[in-house]
Amino acid sequence: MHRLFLVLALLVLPPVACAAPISLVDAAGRTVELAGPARRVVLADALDILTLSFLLDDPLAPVAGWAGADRLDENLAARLHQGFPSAAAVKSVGLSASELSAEAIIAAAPDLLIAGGGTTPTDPVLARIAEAGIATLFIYPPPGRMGEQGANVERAISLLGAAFGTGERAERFITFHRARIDRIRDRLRTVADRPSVLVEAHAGSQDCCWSPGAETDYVEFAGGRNLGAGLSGIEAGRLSLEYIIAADPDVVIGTGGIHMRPEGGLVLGAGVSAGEAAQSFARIRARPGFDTLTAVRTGRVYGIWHQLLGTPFDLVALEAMARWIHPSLFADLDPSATLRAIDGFTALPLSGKFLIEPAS
Amino acid sequence: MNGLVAAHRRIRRRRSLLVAIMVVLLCLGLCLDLATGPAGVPVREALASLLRLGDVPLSTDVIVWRVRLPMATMAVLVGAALGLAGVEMQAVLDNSLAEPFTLGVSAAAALGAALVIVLGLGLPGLAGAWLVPANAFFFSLGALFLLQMALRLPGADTQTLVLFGVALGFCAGTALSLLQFAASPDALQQLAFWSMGSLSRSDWPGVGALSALLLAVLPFSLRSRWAMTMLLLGEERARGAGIDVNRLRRRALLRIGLLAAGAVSFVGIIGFVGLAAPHMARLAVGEDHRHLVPASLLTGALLMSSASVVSKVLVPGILLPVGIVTALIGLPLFIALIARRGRSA
Repeated sequence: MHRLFLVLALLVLPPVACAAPISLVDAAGRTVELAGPARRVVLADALDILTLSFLLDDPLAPVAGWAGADRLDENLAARLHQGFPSAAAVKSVGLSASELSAEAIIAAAPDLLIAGGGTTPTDPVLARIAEAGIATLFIYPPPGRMGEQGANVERAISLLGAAFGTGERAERFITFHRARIDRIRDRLRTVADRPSVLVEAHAGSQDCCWSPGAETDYVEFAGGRNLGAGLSGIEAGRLSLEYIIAADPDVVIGTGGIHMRPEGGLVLGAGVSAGEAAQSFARIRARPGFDTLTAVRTGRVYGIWHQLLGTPFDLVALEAMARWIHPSLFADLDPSATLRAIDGFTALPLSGKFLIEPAS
Repeated sequence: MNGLVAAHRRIRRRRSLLVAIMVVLLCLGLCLDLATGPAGVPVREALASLLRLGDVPLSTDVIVWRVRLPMATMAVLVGAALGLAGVEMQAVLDNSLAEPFTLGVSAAAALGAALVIVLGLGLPGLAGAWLVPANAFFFSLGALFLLQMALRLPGADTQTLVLFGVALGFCAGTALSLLQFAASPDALQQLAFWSMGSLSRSDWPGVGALSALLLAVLPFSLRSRWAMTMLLLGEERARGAGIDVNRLRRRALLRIGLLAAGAVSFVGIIGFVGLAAPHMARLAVGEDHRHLVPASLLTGALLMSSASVVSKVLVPGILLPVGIVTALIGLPLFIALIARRGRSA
């Protein structure tokens, strides 16, 4: 189904940027009409600036406003301000993607509101801004319509390429992305063995252990079985430490970021030093209970920067997870090389510590 | 004797004047609310759009007519509903700590909203923006129904009612916690914002629905003002005056429940207004419900209207949840008034 959307979106892609009307079917399945390529936009989720950086040399130039600015962690925000001083002029249009201010959006006078997973298509704010002639484009599926991660990213890039008239650039990245995604998918096709994986979101937080959630897709795509998925039919929940010890997962993957600093959890991300990352990683491995897990004792415990997920950079996370879950099958994958290759496509190359392994 | 009558007349006239002043203040508050917002629309342009005068950009028209006006009107309506419900609840329970949500109506509404936000379970046949308010309203009506049943139990008195209502609130709160435990982070955030109370969801159909509710309930509230005043003097005396106290309580509770349910369904939980508005009004016009009911209604509306202005200007560009602001601006005022009353007593 998502492939179908992608094909539809590609079909209506204009060969060159021109002022002809653009019609798109977005990630929420809505038809969006634009008078021409978007020149001024508002982001419902500030983190989507990372996706935008794959299509424009100056991804901040068209951004008049955004909501949920605190989703960009402080290092990422600093990186953004340093690379693009115009970031300081971006106005806030809400506390989060689900709490948008119609008036602030209308005042920013954009052609388009770019929305994603945090906004619901029935939000009355969208109807109100539509009356002022501002269309809304869902580049990522709204809540409850999560699709397969790889296809989600490709569709987001394709939709933005069409909306900004930079279709060729979108196409180049999609080709690169598709090849890497297909490599993982094809190899796993004949593999029946699905090691059990504990994904601990925000590893090391005071209330252990946030488990299933959106990370399920990633684990399944990378050839694992998410320990928390399907346990209770709930979307995101807490697993008890006792359950984890009894289940003794084959692989443990934690996510973290600088938001985990105050709690003493896993610290990774843009602008994070290797030393700090290693120190926090050692700390979460040594937590009582965790230190007895087979995965931790045999060194099959890893970490990923949380903000990497849900952006085009998550290809790096997918490759790393595939390698960690099936080491012999994917011994030739090099996520760090993939990150460097991705840097060739984005206007916002990131440096820092994004992945961590026991030996690294 | 003549002097007494004259003094009584003077007091009544003074109270009527105070109520009139509140009406004027409310109009000013409403104008101020319409003039503020992150877009920085010039007041003259906003006025031109409001009065449909001259050429105004489409964006200004949308901001004034679709964003600010429904929000400002909703603030007034919600404040009025909570002020009215609060003053009646304090009389019915004969307790100055009572407020519209004392008996679990808001907890039930929150549960109804959470079912939609977390599990997508709502009343059949409704779609989109109506689903959350409709479900919240339906659940608060359910709570109201149970309270009415409790009042019909043999030997039921005010205390039974309060205990039953508090238990009901706890039940709904527990179910809500269970839902929160199972919610995704996105749904959890949405639910948190819903509970803080926000005017940003206001639209014309919502304003229409709440004004219809308020207009339907108000005449009954006004008609029972005398009986409620008698009730304040004591149950025995009210009975002596030929008032069916149980029926009076049941009906007042029905009105309170409808108003509280309406308010909470459209804007979420707004604390403090329903508690403070009656007290503030009482300090101005006294206990007599003939003046207290309209004064409390107007004070509630004025509190909400001012909170709406503050929620827009406190952090530029960000609309703070109005439920936080009502307490923020109301509390100091409330404490100052109570302290002054303490001194003069």
